[in-house]
Amino acid sequence: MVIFPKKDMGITKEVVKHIAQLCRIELDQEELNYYSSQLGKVLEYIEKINQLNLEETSFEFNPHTQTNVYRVDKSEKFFNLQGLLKIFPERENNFIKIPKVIE
Amino acid sequence: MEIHKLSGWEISQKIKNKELTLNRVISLFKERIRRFNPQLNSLVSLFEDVEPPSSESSSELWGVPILIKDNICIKNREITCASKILKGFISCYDATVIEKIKKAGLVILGTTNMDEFAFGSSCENSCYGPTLNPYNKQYVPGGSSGGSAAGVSAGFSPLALGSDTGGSIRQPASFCGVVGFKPTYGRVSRYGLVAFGSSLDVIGPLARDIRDVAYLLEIISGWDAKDSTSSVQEKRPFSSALEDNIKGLKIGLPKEYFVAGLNKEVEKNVKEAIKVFESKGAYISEINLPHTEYAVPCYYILSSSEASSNLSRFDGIRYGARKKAKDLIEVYKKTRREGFGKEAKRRIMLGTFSLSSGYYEAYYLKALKVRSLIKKELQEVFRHYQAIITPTSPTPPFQIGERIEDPLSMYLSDIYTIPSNLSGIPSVSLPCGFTKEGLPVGLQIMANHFSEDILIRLSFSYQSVTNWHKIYPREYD
Amino acid sequence: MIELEAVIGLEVHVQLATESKMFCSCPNLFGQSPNSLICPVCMGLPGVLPVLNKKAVELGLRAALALNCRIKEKIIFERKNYFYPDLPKNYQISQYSNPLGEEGFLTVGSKKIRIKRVHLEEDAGKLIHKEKYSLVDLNRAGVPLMEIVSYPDISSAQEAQDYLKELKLILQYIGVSTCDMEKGFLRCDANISLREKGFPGLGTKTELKNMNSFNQVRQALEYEIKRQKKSILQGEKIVQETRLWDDNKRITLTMRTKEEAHDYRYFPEPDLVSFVISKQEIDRQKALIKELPSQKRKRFRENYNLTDKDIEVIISELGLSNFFEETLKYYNYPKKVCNWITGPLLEALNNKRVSIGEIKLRAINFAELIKMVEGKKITNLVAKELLGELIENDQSPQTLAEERNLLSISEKSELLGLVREAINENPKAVEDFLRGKDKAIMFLVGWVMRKTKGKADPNILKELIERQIKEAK
Repeated sequence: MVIFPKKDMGITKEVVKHIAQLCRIELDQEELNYYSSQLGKVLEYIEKINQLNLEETSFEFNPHTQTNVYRVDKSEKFFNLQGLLKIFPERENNFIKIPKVIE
Repeated sequence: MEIHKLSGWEISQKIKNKELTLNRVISLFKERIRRFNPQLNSLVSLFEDVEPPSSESSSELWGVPILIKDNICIKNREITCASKILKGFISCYDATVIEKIKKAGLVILGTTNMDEFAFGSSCENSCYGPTLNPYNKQYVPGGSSGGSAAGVSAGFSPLALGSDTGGSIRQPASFCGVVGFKPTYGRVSRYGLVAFGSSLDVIGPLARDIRDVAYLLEIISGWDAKDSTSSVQEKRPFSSALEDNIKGLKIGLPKEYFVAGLNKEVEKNVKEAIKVFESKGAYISEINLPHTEYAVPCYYILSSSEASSNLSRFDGIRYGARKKAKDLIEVYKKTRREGFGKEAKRRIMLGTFSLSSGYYEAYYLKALKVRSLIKKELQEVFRHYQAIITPTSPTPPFQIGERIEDPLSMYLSDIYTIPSNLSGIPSVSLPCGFTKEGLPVGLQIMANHFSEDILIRLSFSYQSVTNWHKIYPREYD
Repeated sequence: MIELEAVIGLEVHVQLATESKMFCSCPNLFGQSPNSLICPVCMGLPGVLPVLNKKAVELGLRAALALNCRIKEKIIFERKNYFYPDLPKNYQISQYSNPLGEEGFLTVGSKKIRIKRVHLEEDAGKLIHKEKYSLVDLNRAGVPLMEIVSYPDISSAQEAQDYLKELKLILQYIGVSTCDMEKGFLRCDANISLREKGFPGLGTKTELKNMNSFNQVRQALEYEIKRQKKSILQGEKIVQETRLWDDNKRITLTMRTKEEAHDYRYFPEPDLVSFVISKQEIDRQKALIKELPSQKRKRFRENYNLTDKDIEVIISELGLSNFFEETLKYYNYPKKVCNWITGPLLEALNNKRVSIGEIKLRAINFAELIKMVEGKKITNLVAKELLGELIENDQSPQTLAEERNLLSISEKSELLGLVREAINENPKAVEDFLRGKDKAIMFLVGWVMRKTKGKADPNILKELIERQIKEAK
């Protein structure tokens, strides 16, 4: 397990490597260098928001003005099930076929 | 009669009173597209088998052609968001806005180019190559709805739909000399829009004539049971705001927007435009929006975080372009490695980072707080003012390739448009002039939540005494 | 020698009994053909959005209240991000920072097991593993799920099993879930560590998975306690890990170590609004709870004077206890009715493979059946036979018995002939009886019973036969 470096160390290559693993994007060494440098610059800029003292600031979890938007519990089969099955990249007896999952 | 220069509502009228036939209209626009699109790359796909309009409706835009950005789902059509990872993906359902425009009798001609997954402000991040600015092909049309803006600009269609998360309708509209309208967040259903920043995304119209915008807005707005975040706010007949009466309206000019980084020619054109509003009886005064400089970093943290999660579903398992691999992990990694472009990878990684353990409080949570501040600030202004006017972009269109390797400079082009997305308020970009080099300049107007009618009124008033929106790029005149 | 004690916490996932899925209208059904209950939303297609099922919140709220939780006034949902092929969006919409209910408890025997949290989320699909590839079925993806996490207050494997049984009973009683573990409607993971008795801290815990029944949970914990004890006493360190229960080998095994601990990157679900849980809604759900198993137990103990064992059986299904009390309205002898239910009725239900909810027999007729036996109008044997039929075709037992000519023969004159026949045909039995083998008489009783197709009252028969033999001497 990668131990995360302290916040002020910003985006190092180790961090980018770990991030890439978390979001399942493979990077070779060249790409690792490339993205590390770019993300580093972006992050430096984004640090701006830490100039603000936000201790007393409240926040909303979401910008939605409405609350309690529900759906009535009624079931209905999708009208185009065949259309959905057609888009599976690989299929076996209506299952989606994928390479073996090692559990 | 130059049909391609007619407004949408005019075309519809002429079809209704038999001056024009539907087929003539459609074939004319298709002809233009076939002829000129290879130069501009505005459309990703021109539908050979265009669906005829439904006979149910007699809306103001019945029979009018429209272009759709490649991130809005159309049933049985390929939808790729200009990304390799969705190449070949056929949607099996219509987005709610598509259902609505089909019902109103509009004719979808095809889908338009964009920055991949809407990540970008130049339309250069597309797997189909960039769209070019119809005014000067060395320049970008803006993004991410660059294809839609260029298409309307070059007369490929009087109408287009785009999506706006940080300025993606307004900025390309301003770069291409057309009108781009971002409704209030929640005004238009997002069901069927491939999500980028779920709390920021809005679908909106592009056109030249504000009347078209108003009619199209009426058609696409409204609460949708399939979108929990869509608003139950009553739909106003926006077309009743099409009147030339802005006397007494109080308009604020934020001093933070008219500072050193603003291009001189942009400033000149915008200030000229402001005089027009003044001459028509509006009161202009300076206002303060002190947290403006924090909008961009705040936006990039929130939008990338949401995007990183929204794009997790693209893994080649259930649909899309799956890469053959020896085991499951390889499928994920290879599919996403080869399927996503550079900017998409940057955003996903930035977002993943902001949400990750140890960084969530420092970045994501802080950004939520900044967002609240920006929203409150704007709401405070709207207690005393009905509208805010700013330039749409700090610079005129830039050259192709100029900023593509410098993400930061690219991100800064959204500085004026982002606050509207963060707060959810509606805003519009109007063409208001040209630089000495002949590149379009856009003016942005913002209004309070659900006050699209004020924007329409101001736009209509402006368009009744100016002709910027009627000017076509020389080559496509 | 140090004395070690077990510290156990349970994490239970329960599928809610709704008609449709959590965020879309796909049917919430079990056992359908693969990928037949899917739609763009639960499949995670581009552009789709979730809309929350109101019933799921109602049921979750009811459960949280029944478990004595403090209800959050305003709840939100969050995304739990991780990649797995049974998770269509590669994130699960769940709750993290603002769960529906917190700080509740459940009583097992006389002990309170505290419940840390109750929250709502969507289920994932199912994977089937073949030799060289795997298959994905998304029918279950998006089904409404409730997660119930206990504090590590459980101190034995048996207690864990009892906790699960009580939890299941409660959830069944309030109509939140059928908790059918065979169908996967209820799933359980356990966390267990050992510590020195009296020591306040917690030892290193292992997580146990893959237990498919309450029994397996108990067995897995028993094994794990033994295993950890052995390790500790040998001076070894317990590794914090996840272990799987292998029901064939009856042991827990280390799961192949994963590459990294999960960083779920929770953040508020932007596609959903916040949900305010009003006092009216809470009151409404409270009113729907009616009587909980613990309350019923108490009431039965106080009012009916039944053994604890009997009570457990009667209340094990809400339908059963309701039938019991309904029957008492017509025949108010709790002990007798109880015996009839725990004995013949349950046996009949078993034979016919039906549940109490499915039978046609009404309590009034069940009461009549018992009365007839008590009044010696029919024998026990006959009653059991009739019961089988009545379950499927409700009617008056008196009528049915008359139709079938199954009323008891208790008229001694009628029986006398058969008794003499029995004595004549079975001299050895008579001899055995005279020699002191009392049991031999039952043979003769049985002989007459068979001849009368069970209609003869065995007690009267016994008496008659005895007298006849003695008189004949």
